[in-house]
Amino acid sequence: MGAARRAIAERLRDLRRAAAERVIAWSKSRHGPDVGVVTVSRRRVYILPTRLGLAYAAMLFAMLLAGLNYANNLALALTFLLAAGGWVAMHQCHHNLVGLKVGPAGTRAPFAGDDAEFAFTLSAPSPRADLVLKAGARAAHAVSLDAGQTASAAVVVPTTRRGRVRLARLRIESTFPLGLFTAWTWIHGELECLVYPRPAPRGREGPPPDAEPGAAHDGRAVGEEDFAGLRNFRSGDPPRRIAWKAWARGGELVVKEYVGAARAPIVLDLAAAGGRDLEARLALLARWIVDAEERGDRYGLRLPDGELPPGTGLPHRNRCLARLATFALPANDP
Amino acid sequence: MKRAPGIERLMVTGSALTVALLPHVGHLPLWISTAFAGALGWRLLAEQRGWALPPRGVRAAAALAATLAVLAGYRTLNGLDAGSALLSVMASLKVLETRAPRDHAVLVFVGYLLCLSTLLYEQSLARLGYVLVAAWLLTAALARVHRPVEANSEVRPFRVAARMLALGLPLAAVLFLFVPRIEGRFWALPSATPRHTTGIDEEMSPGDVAQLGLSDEPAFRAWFDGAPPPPEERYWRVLVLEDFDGRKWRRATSGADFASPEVVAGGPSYRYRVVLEPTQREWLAGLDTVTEWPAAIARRSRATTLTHVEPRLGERLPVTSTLEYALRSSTMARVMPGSLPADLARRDARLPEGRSPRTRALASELRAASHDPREFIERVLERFRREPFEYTLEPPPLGAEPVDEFLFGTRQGFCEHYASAFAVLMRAAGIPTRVVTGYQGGELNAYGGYLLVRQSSAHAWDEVWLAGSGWVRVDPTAAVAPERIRRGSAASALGDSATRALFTDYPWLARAREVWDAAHTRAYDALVHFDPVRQQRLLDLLGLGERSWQGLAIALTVGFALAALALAAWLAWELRPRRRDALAAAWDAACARLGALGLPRAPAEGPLDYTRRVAAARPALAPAVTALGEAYVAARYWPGATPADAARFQALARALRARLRAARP
Repeated sequence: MGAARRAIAERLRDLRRAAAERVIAWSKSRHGPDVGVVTVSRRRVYILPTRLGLAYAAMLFAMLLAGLNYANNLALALTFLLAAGGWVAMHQCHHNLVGLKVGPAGTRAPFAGDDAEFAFTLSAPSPRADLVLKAGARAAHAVSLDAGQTASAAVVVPTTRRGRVRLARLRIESTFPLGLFTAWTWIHGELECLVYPRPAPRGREGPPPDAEPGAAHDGRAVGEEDFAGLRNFRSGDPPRRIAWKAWARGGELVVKEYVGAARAPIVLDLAAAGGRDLEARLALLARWIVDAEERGDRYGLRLPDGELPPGTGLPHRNRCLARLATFALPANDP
Repeated sequence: MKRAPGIERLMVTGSALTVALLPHVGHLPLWISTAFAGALGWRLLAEQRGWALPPRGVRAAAALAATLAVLAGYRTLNGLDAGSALLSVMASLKVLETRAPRDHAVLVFVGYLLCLSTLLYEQSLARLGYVLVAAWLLTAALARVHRPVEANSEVRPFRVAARMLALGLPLAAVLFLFVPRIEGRFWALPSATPRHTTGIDEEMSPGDVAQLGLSDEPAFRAWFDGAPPPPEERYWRVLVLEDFDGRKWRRATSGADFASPEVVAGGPSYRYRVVLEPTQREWLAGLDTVTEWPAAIARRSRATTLTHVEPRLGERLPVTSTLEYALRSSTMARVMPGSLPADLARRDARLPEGRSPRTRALASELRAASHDPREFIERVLERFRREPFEYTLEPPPLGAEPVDEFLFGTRQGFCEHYASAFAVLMRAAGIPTRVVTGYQGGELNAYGGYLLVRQSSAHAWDEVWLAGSGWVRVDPTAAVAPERIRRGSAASALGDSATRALFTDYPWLARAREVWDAAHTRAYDALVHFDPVRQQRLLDLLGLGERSWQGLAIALTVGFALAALALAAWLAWELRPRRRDALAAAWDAACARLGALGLPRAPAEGPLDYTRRVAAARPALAPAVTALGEAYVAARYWPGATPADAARFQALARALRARLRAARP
């Protein structure tokens, strides 16, 4: 009995999923894959009453019957006003999405197991309220826009392993103003985000390699460098190099530069990382990269299929991690 | 400190619901109102202190108990009274467990239904206004609850709700005008228990009333085809009292059925329409001798007695909402001039044995001195005029023999005292006499074109039957206080109370009141009395009158489509792209002008890059263009930019435009 019911429920769920897939495929065939900034046109905004909207309609019908039954014109007037309010709400709900401009604004690669973040910019020529971005079942915070204002919002997609994660479509929906209707649109973006291998737990595997024997990489090494001057801050500069005192005096954010960083760069080699399998070794390599960056070392990466010259800074770290993310991925792996 | 969103939502929903429930407090059992207030208070505290809400089992038990209590109290769950009680109970219970938006929505819906039942109880414009405010607050509560919790914009649910309802008005008007009304009810429900009654009492006992309450409330309004009768003819009959026990006058309970009375019309005939305010009683008002009743009312009344016993809607059909009916009346008709059936003559000349001895003695004395009944009536009225009788609304109470004490003792009273004493004198002399109660007077509202009769115009007078003339109206109060009859109001005959003095001293105030009453009456008439007949009249006006159902369908569809289109257009206009700021517009214009020289700006080209490129290509323009680009960057991006920078850029842009224009061949 229970099993039979479960089977029916499962079958129903499958049917619903299949129907939803068909609708989405149909919508995609109408608008095609979306590239770059998309202006949401009238014909790609869909709207349906919510459950609350249906309950509201049922209540209005009951009120209509009561008003007619008692031949009570004022009761009818109230009913009609509420019905008209619902109609206006439908228009406002629909208008809330039409004319919206949506563009991808980059991704933030996570370590495997964390959420990948897909950012979007939203702007509209007129004010908008309570737009909710959704990827699958997960909703982002609601966004409201003033006329001409650009705001960004991000949706997150869960990840399990390194590689790439794909966002096939973005759903933007709104139940503004009363929650009686839900209007939505699909942006069929086909966006991808890298997923870095999760660094191995600290201290569990062997020590970071000394690529060049004799080269010290303790804290003193930094102090031995010669101060060469200040330059403007660029994103990715390690915080410890920022001249905080200069900044505190009310100046701009500047970074101390040194010459003669005598310490030789280290090279992190996959071959040097021991482990059960490739994934474990990549995890260890990721740990080394993260640690080296934190220490402010100059480090390079050596993989069987190529080499990254030594460098430092966040962009360099991310380049290295990206190489690990895509290293030896099966061709058809997303 | 910011309040938690939970408590703010609860407060918005709770106060809107309270506003919706308030009009019902008067007729709800005390325990329901108390339970609601308690539940709301507890829920707010629980939200603030983070108490747990009652578990499911407790709530279910409470719901069952409350439903049974309502059932026990009203013996039904059907109908308006029990229905609103049940709604209020449900609201209280729902408040206890309100947490999710869905719960709030249920509360808002209950609030809407309470608004509806407020109007079902009583249709008045004041109530409609109140209910619209309540509906606005409820809609705002719905808007507040259905925003995503973390919405980052300013919350303005009250504005959103007001705008929504305002934009819906034209659509609502179309629906109101063209949704077909039906005649009669398709589901009979017990009507609400009548609350306080107003208007003319069914009994009259002058000795027991120490002070006559006079209210300025309207009793009814009458629209006349042509001129209304002169003030002294404005006698509106409501009830006829024929049984007297020495103290109290009552409606006849015996010998009421007799053949259709003979009416000989005479004098002017008036056609008019009456709109009666609800009285919670069955009685209607009509001018003097009503010669034509609407068929619907005649059917329900004692048809044979219409013209001169009181008309009424019928047993158990009190006037609970305003009632409109059309009549024809004659002010000088003779009713039953030929003969009075013997049993009626006996009944209407009967006096209780052994009561009012001095009055009887006076009657036989005066009757003996008179040749005929008419002279006798004249002598009695003369006595009222000559003796020191006083018209007052605060007479001393009377004892065991009220008529004797009034005639020979206190000599102070109002219309009821005089009508009663006069009738006793007449009956003592063997003349069939009855007391008629109703209204005397009516103010003509010049703006609305109707006569407004207030409760303060309530009056009592007599009718005597004289051979050859039939029933003749005699108003003894007129003999004592002619002022009362001329001014048409008991109150204004007796000096003025503070509020009335206000209207006398400031005529513009009285005029303002008149305008307000006319406007209110007109709006009320248009809204509340919009029935199938008027709907049909409207269709005729639109040329769709032939086939009423199809006509309505066409009007409804077309009207709704037009209103919806107008709404869509309005919203589209409202959401049109807003103008960009003047600076950006001027920059775009300058770029377009330079672009026309064959040097269009690339989409990704910054201002400085672009002007540098133009300057290189057109050395003649170089200084102007370079300055323009730098001014734009300064005005737009410099952190310390002031309006002066924008003005400088605008000036440079204008100069460049002039130069380019001059250079054109």
